[in-house]
Amino acid sequence: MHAFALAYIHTYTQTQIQVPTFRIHHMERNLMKELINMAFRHVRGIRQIHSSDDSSHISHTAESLRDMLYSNQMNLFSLEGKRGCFYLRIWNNGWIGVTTDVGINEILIKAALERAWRLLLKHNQLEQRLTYIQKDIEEYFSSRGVSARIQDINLVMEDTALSGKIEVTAREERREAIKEQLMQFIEKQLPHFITNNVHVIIEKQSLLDRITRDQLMKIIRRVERL
Amino acid sequence: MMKAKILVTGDFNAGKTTFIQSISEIDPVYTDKKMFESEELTTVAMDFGRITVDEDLALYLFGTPGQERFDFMWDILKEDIIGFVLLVDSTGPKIQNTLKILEFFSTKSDAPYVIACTKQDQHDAVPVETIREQLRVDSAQVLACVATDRESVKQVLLVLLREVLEKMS
Repeated sequence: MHAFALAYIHTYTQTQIQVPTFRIHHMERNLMKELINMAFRHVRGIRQIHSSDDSSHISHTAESLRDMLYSNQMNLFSLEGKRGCFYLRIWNNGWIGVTTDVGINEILIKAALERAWRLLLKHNQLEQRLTYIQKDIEEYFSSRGVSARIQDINLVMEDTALSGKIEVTAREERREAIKEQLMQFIEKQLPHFITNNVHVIIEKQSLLDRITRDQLMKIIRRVERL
Repeated sequence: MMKAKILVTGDFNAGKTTFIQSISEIDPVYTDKKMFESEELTTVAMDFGRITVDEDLALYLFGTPGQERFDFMWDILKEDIIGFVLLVDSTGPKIQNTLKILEFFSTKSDAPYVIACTKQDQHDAVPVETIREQLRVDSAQVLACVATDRESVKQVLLVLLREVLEKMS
């Protein structure tokens, strides 16, 4: 069996979204490579994906591949090779090497690339959704009549997992139920290839969760006028 | 709408229903029943009164049932309170019962509280200082109160609300 090391997949730089109440980190990762590998792994007959990260053309190649995948224009790559060994030529300056079982043809490899595109799309959608996760959780609590308040969200988006923690304050008696509901909510947001590693921490509600200083001052002034 | 909740608790016949009745802007919702052995009324579930601040904010007063056999309601009523008033009948203070109620609410809630000695206008009322000594509670204010007098009830509420404010600082 031959091996190829011809495709250079872009390493994404770290992106960090920061808002006052919560943080979502996008760790440094080789997302494209990971997702393509994942896609190929699910195709029977694919043995190995070969790529290298040490090329000076790495960004350019990755951009081409990403454009191709996102636009779903599968005619932007060509497939060359013989039984068991293929070169995927990405647009005009990138390659992926694939070793396969004898009998695997280019149709299956194209199907794997399409699968990679779908995974990327879902990954991208999830990243977008995480931007609004605090609002989504608050609406979820509201729709269920749950008396809980989000204190902090600190999530890390990785290739195949969502990690980090969500801190919530709630009534002591409702802690376990709210924790379970929130875990289920997060689970539903994630595509099947993203593992849920989020820790939900439920703290007991404090006096400050029940009333603000301004509201209390208003009440005092109202009672004084009685 | 934000509903700030204050609990009015105390032993049987301490004046909880009257306390709420004196200050509430609405006709309080009572769950009083006539007792079998007398013509007196007793609360079996809760009393409820309201003071509206504005369209987004109101103070709600909940009174607990005084009789021990209805104390299962305490657990429900203590939820989300910002403070509580513990009433003691000055004409016959039941110290042990009062301490039992105090222990329940002070251990299960972080809300500030004040103790109000009711019926201070009665000739046989025990002085506030005596009740304070009998209760041996140093951490809370013990106040004189006449539950039928709106001004007296108002002063008790204001002391409690300022305690809450202080705790928030």
